[in-house]
Order: sequence, then structure tokens, then C-alpha cells
Amino acid sequence: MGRIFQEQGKSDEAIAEFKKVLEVDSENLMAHSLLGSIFLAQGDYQTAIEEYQQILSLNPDDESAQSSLKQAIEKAAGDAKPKETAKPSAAAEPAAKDPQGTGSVTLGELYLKQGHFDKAIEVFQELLAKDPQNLMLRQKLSEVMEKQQKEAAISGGATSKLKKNDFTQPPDQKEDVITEEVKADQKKQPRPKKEDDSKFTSEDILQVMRRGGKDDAVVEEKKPAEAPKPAAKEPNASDKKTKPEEPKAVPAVALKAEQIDRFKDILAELGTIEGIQRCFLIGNDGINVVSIGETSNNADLGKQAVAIFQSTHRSVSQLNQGKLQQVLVTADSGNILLVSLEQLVLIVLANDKINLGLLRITLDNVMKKMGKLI
Amino acid sequence: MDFKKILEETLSNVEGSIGAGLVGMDGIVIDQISHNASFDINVVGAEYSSIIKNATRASTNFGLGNTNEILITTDKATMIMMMVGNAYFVTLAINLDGNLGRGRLELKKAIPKFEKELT
Repeated sequence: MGRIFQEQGKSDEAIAEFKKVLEVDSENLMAHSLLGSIFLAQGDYQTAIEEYQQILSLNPDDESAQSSLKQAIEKAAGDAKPKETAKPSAAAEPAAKDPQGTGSVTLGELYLKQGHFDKAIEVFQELLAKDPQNLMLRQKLSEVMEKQQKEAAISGGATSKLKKNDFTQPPDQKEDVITEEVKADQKKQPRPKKEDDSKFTSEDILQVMRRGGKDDAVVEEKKPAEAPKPAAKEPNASDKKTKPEEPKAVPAVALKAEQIDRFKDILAELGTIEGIQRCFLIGNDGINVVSIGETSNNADLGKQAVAIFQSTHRSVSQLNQGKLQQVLVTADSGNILLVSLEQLVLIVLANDKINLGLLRITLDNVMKKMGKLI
Repeated sequence: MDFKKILEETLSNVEGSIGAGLVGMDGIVIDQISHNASFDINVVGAEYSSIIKNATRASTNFGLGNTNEILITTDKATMIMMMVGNAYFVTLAINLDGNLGRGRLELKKAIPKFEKELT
């Protein structure tokens, strides 16, 4: 029926039909694909991107979705630029209304993936200028800087004077220094241009999208810099891009440096339980906030944890079983525990010798302490 | 194949149980029993399947091997999911005041019965 409407050019009716299909079968690739094509044709690139992301999360090898996603991202990027120059005051507006903002984190990620550090830095700095309190953005910027430093060190060139910890400091103390130093370094050390600077490969896009596609949530958290609040409110139901049936990722919380230190102390307490291999706290956009123990591949685990949490959240809502608190995955040789904490998710990786009873009791205490901090 | 009978037996042995079901990894419910009208596994079979797939991906990526069990805790209930072979899983929901340990035990006992029926 949806296809008939689509062929007749009745986009709204077609969208309604495809959404009905997804209510019954949320993994229907055809429905996601057709919705994506309609949104793309309508110029609603962000929603189209979300549809293609859904397809790729279900079937990462879907070449058609890869290609369409690439097209949507490129169009979104192309569409956003003129708006920014035409309206310099956009920084003061809420992010949800700012298509440039919502697309830029993804663009920044793509530049990072391609090794275009200067462009990635530029994107993240622009976003940070609009939302200086956003810790997640600062961490992303820190990540780019770190990679840039490493690359420069390998090539023997000048490196940025920035240190990772600079980005956990209050913005008013560090921001200007950071910007000036980075810009100076970038001028001194122009990165050799690659064969095709403006194109992203499907693999680039896929890799970024496999991060969960929720980076936009970071930007959507933007609030006036004068009144930063730790607990971001639930997304507005009237937000244009929000799918009513999807549990929207809650915007990542902005944490202060001292809060992070305190979180580390609390996590360290948890880490004393025998059998725990690592624990870390992520925003529910999948980005690492604080971690103890081994940190390799935390980002991957974070993305997968978010995917698990989203599916679980949906199922719990559909069954009317209250508010999701914990998910414990028991595998052959270990356990993954995910605990919801406001806008954050605590992830604990433990071996199969862990005393789960003790872990649960300790977790109760830990979560209470963390809850007080937020 | 009397899956319902196995599910009934499991539910009757677990204090505070809400419902139970046997679901394929394709998300299609094979059989289910519920003590609560709002608890319909048909509605969430596909989501449960996604949860297990994502969990399996995560546990495999981190060298933990195959996923055997998933425990979901909410402020109203606890849901247990256990793999039955590679292609199915059984799920049991229990009230917060129910006996979670007993629930896990009864599910573990039910798994070989399901496997026998499914082979």
C-alpha cells in the first residue's frame, strides 16, 4: 500500500503506511529503505540518514543503504553550509533547530576517520563555541588532537601543544589558548591533501554510523552557556526529527572536571571487586566519559552497549514493564553489565568468576553515589 | 510438541512470575503464556531478538564467547532470557518480589526439554 502511495506521489500517506509496517516489524529493511528514499526526496536529510542508519545497523553490508546514506550525508552537509553563512547568529539557537549543528558531529567524525584532522578540529571547535560546556564534544576534540599529535610525532613534524586533559578543564580557562595554539599549528603544518578531500567512502560512512548514529544527541544537548545544568531534560516530543515510536537517546550530560574525578573514585571502588576487568561510564550517545581498568576498545563496547540499551528500552516500554535499570549479559567466559544512570550508562565487564550477588549489592551503593553527583 | 506445557510448568514453579515464552531468533514467538494481559511477548519478540543479537556481538567482540543469558531489570520486573540452542531463546518475566534465583533455575531446567522438543 505504501508503495502505491509512493508511486502516486502521496508521500505523507506512504510514510504513514511504512511506519505502520515498522510498528509491527521494526527490522523491516524495505520499509526503512523506502522511508529513507521519501525523506531524501523531501529534503529531510537527517531523517533519511536515520532510516539508512537503521538499515545498516541491521545489515551493515547493504550496499544500497551505504550509497544512499552517503548521498544523504553529502546533501545534508551541502544543505547546511549556506544556512550557516546566511545566519551567523545560529549559535544562539537551540541545536534541535539547527541542521548544521546536527550534521556537523557526523561530519567531524568522517573527517577524523579520513585523517583530515584540521577539518575535524574545525567542526568540533565550531560546535564547542556554541556549546562550551558540552564535555562530549570536548572529548571528541581531545580525541582528534591526540590523533593529530600522534600522526605529527610519527612524521616528525610540529605537534599541537594541546594535551588531552586540557579538554576536561573549564572552557573559560582553556578555550582561547586551545584555539589559538591549534590554529597556529595548523598554519605551520598544513596536512598534505589526499587524493579526494571532499568525498567519503562508504566504509568511512559505515564506520561512523556503526558508532550508533547517535552523535547528534551530543549536539542536541546544547543549552545557554550561562546556565549549564547537569541533568538535561527529555527531548521534546514535538521535535521535528523525533520518531514517536523510537526511544530517543537522552542528550549526553555535561559533566564538570571535578564530577569526573569523583566518578573515577567511585568507579575505582567498584573496581576493587574481584573479577571486574573494566568499568566505564558512557553518555547514551555511546561516548566514553570516565573509565577505569583496561580501556582498549571501550568505544566499540560503548556503541554496542547503546544498541543493547536501545533495543531493551523499546521492549520494556512495549511491555509496559517500567523504567529500564540494568541489563546483564552472561556469556561463556564473562559478563557485561549495563546500568542506566540518568543520561549515562555504566558498563562493567567482569570475568565468569565474579560474584554477581556481591556485584549487585556494591552496584546499588555505587549508583546511589553517582546519582547524587548528577 | 507441547511447548506450552513446559512453559506452564516453569511458570507454576516460580513465585511471582508474570509470563514466559519460547521465541525464535527471527523474533517470531513459538509459544507463550502470560498471567498479565499487558505482557504479550508477541509484541516484543523482535526486540528481544535484537537484544540478544547485539549482546552476542558485544560478548563475541570482547572475547567472552557466546551469550547464554540476559537479565533485564526494570523498576517493575525482571526479564530473563536464555538461549535454547542457537536458534531459539526462552524468556521469563518475574515481579520484583518474585524469586529470581528460582526463575533462573527453572529456566535452566526447561532448556533441555525445549531442545529435545526442537530436535
